[in-house]
Amino acid sequence: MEASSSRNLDPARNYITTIFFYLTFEILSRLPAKSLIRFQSVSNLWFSIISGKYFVDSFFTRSKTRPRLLFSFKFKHLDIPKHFIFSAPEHINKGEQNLPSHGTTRHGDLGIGLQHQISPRKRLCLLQTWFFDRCL
Amino acid sequence: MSSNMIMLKSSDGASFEIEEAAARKSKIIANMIEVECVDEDKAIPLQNVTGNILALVIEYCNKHIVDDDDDVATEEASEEEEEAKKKKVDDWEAEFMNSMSLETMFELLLAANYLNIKSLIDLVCQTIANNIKDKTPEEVRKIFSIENDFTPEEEEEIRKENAWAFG
Repeated sequence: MEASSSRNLDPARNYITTIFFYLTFEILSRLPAKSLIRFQSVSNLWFSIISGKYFVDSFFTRSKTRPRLLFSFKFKHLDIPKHFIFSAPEHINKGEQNLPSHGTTRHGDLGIGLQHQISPRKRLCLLQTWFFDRCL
Repeated sequence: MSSNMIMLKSSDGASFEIEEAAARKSKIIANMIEVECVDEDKAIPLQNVTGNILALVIEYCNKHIVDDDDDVATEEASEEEEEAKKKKVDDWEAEFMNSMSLETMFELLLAANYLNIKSLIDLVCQTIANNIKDKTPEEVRKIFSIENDFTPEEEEEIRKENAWAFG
């Protein structure tokens, strides 16, 4: 997986280590958010790819053309006294990529779901992920 | 034009005859044809693709060139017909990918990349993604031959942050 090993192109013998960096990128960009979060712990390289700005941008670009919902919500019981406005794709991916703490987030129950979460950092992470998920 | 045949030669010496229209699915070969460096009597040597993988690439190209022709012939096809056709292609692709191991998929991906066949790269990447999406990081490391270069503490930290994703 190291960048240098991609120079040694011999698919028949050692195809896995010769996969180009961007082919890994291509594969990762087709994964659901839950898998991506889990695969951050595969290696430093994967962590860097998945959390990199370029990857996140391409993730959103890929989902731009899909139908989207626009909605806003407010963190009532949390320390962020602001309204948030999000747009999210209209479709739900067979329910398998929802947050574990609640079911289909479609009609404003996101706030309820997030109230159950603990640390602010984790909350932010879940929010990002939730947003990610909606873009798949 | 589409009846022109060209020869491709794999790294292990196997020769394949393919319609020019199908071969043009590969941007590399299409470019070679454009600049007229394809000799009718000579096979194009593909040093990074073995015979068994090249056979799969050709199967894919042949299938999709037929589909492209269909599209032109039935320009005014109804929506249902379009959908039925798309489903037919999807079904074929699903079966095509189903027939091969993950190892073969990686080889096919490298070949598609080398030959620059965008739609095949997309198909293989999506299939690999579907294959690994429910796997654990350990399983993924094994599949991709990746060494775990985190310290135990770092790994623990990342896992703790994202514990829910491991459910």
